[in-house]
Amino acid sequence: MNTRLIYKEYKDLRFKFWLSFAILIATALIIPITFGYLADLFVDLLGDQALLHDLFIQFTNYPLYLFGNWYAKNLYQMGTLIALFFGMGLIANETTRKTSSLIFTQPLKRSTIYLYKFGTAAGLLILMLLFSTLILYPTTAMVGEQMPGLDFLAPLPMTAAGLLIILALTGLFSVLFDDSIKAGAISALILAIIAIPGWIPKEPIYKLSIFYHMKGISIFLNGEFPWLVFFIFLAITALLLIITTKILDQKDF
Amino acid sequence: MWFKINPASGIPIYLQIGQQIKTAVASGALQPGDQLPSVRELALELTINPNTAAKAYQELEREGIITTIRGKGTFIANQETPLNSKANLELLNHNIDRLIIDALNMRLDLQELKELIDKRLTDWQKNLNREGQT
Amino acid sequence: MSKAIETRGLTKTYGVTPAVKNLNLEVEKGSIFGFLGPNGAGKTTTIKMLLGLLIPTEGTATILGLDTKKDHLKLRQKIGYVPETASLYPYLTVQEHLDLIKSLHKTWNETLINRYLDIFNLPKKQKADQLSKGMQTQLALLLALGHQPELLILDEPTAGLDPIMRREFLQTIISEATQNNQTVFLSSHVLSEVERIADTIGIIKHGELVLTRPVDELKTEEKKIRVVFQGDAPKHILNHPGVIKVEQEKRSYLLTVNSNLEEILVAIEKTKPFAVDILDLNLEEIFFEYTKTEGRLLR
Repeated sequence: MNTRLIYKEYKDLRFKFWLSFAILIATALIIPITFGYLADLFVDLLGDQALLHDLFIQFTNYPLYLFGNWYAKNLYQMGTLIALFFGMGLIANETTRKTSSLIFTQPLKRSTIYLYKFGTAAGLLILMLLFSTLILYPTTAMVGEQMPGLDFLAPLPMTAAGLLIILALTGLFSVLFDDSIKAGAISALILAIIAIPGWIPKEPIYKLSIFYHMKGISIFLNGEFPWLVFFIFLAITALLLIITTKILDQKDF
Repeated sequence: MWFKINPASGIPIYLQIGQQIKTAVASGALQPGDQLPSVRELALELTINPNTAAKAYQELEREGIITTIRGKGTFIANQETPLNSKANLELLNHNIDRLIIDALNMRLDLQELKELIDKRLTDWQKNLNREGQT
Repeated sequence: MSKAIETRGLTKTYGVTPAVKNLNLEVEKGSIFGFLGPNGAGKTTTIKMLLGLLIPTEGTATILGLDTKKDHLKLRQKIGYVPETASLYPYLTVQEHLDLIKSLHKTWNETLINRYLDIFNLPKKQKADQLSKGMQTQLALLLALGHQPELLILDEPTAGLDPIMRREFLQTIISEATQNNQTVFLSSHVLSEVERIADTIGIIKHGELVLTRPVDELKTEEKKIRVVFQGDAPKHILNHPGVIKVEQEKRSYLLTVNSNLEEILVAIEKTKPFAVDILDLNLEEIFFEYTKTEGRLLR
């Protein structure tokens, strides 16, 4: 383990990291705090109307509201954007800054350097996910709602595993394209295509979307952790990493 | 240090250095036994390749102008006769020939050239005498 | 003497345009090799192939006896590289750069680094993007020297340095990279600095090596002879091996010679010419001789 290299990679991501972290934490604060107001609005003012039934249910059930707004919505959506944001510069930044001629002439394999980059970005992502989710506990206590149990953390590994795929995918494009904006845009396009199955409300089809699994719905509803999907996610990530390092080894700088 | 080299000249740097040391020795500015800078010092001083500095010294040593004593340094040698080698004599003749060609190209006749040389020789003799006195 | 760099048929092609063509380059261990060529001639491409930053389309390169493809990790312990534009991380300080590169090498000469931090007056705590262009180059040099490489590769390193810094830079190279049979490979536009410190030069043009020769030999052998013959110029002199170019103005001939100077002079003398004049060429003139596109090169 080379801590100097990790430090350098952290420095490279630090603006993106702190900005994303601040937004995630703000979201983790706002969700519990706004529950009371929104609940008053829906339950007292509008009542249970047929058209808004689903929303109504949410505002009568805090744990459901919390899950729906955190895992099923904000965390995976923001996480996706952050992973994209992190991944698009992994190699492209070295290329545009021309620091590639410093780092890639050191006695270190290109694949090793890439894994340090990926590892640091992944570590920071997971740190953010964990910390911002933990923030929900004190904020819930603050607004005096029903405390979620420890099992509330159970969907986190699924979200994280999905984000690793996105990070690895964007990292791949960061090797292929020297411009980080281009790398980010292409990855976003691919992710949009991947998301399409999730919009089709038919049993096996929507399960093909990685975003469906990142929400961790089955965990919340049945308490079952989808181990198979989890390991498939990790395998996809590993495959993407292998492809990326192979391409990186052949790249001209 | 009184070395001055012109890297942009068509004359190799090692020859320029050699020429300057020879001139200094001939004029008495450097005396037998005087120490010269080391190859490394010379290279740094002139910002030249150490190999070039070494080559300049090797040539001078071959011509018997300097000697290198291991562990002590490089010194101006005691020379018995200035024309002790055939090579030196050839070099000198070659230079005289070039001078004559130049003079002829400048439309000087040989007698005028001789007078010019005599005058320079007298000047040098005066300088050498003066240095000898101090 | 074994070779520090040896390339065989090294070629890099982008699409159909070759940037470097069939390059056979040999650099002796312990020499300072000046690598010259006009812009876009393939200097940086060659250097990047030597460093493994670019994958050659064809050919091989051996550095210090090691294959650049197979042994590149081992090689990088032995090579120091100062790129064209100092490649530094804007957000890392001088010290952080040194710490990072040090952590990647097995050997590191702290004394050397500290001595030059002092000499260059580099502020350890300053971030790289706040350093002047000259200081960035100095830092890049330290990053390349810390592990005491056996081969130092410099790509146009002194561009953007003021004359004092340039002198200091070259002196650092002379005193830190030329001892113990270390080799320096220097690509540069500044011919006067190459002339000063290189012992061998190579000239590359349109991706092809057009000349490699020791500088001293170049200066003693590459000459121009101005000669006025009695009557027409004898063919055997104009076609003599070593005469690479003949220019004529009225009755006066200008021969460019790259070898056999003595022989050619003797042959000329035998024709009892009206006038013979030998002109010394400096590196700049030689460089132009080999790189200009117009003119008639008889080789």
